[in-house]
Amino acid sequence: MTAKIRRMATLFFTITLICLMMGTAFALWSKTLTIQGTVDTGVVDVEVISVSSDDPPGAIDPGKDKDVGCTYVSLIDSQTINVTIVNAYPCYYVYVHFSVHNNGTIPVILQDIIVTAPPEITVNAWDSIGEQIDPCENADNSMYIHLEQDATQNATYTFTVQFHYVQWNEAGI
Amino acid sequence: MVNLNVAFAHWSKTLRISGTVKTAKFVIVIGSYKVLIPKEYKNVTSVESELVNNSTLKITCENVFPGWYIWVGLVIHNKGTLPARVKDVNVAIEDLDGIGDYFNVSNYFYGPYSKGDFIEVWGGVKAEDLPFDNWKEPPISFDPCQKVISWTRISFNTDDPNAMDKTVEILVSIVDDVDI
Repeated sequence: MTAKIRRMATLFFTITLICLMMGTAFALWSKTLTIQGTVDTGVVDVEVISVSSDDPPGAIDPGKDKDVGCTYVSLIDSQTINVTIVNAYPCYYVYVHFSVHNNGTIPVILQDIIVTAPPEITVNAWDSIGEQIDPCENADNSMYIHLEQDATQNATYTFTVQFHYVQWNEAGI
Repeated sequence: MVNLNVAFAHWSKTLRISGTVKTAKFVIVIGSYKVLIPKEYKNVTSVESELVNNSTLKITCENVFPGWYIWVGLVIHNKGTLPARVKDVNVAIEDLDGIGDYFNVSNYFYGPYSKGDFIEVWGGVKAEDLPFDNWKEPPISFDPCQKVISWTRISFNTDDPNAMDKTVEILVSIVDDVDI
């Protein structure tokens, strides 16, 4: 009887031990790694930091020997230049120089220049199309303005020039 | 479509230049004029003058005779905003009696003058005083607001006995140009 009880006890412990071993085999410890993503977009921003003309008040007219006309230039804001030429005459010409600063975080390229002017005025915005400006860098541009022979006296003509900069990797699209 | 939009999107910035061009004025006018007759002829001949336009003076002369002459003075004023030059003073004789060839014209120019200093060759001048010695050959350049004085001697000389007691019209005009 004692032996029977001992066998039964042994069997119980054996089964219990087997169950414990099986339980260990099926247990799974786990760990999850998480990646948090943040995208801070860059900025395309250019601004004019300086502007000047070849014929300020009091200067001899470019290519001439007298001070007759003159050209005033000013920054209206960081994106806009105002040019005013006074007392101009046929064949008067002037160069306007300005520096552009890449104030953003993305390189930009001058994609196109749009000139809107009457036939009495020729504006050549110089050949800087395709020029790249990296962030924090500057680029110098020039613009040539010429009054044609068919301009009338005592008149006022207006023109606009737009310099269109785009992010460097999309230029040409 | 979403994919296409992403592909073509790009950021850009446009700088603008707005310009204004104000053109100059070229205006040369006769600011004042005088027609001087020698005092010995004042009872013999008569002269009337009037401006036809800003740059032309018409003079009507009666009883023109051999030996007759007058002096015509012009204050040529640059009222524009451009430098100019006086190239000449042109005298046109309206030749009704075929006597135009008997007129001789001599021009004398003085200046340029900036203020009232032209009075030295203009104020109180008599026909007998002219020409003053300091005359200059044209062209004479003068800036806006300056003046040039011209004195033109128009004389009538001929041996033709029929060229007596004639009436003529004379047009005196400025020949000018931009000086740039």
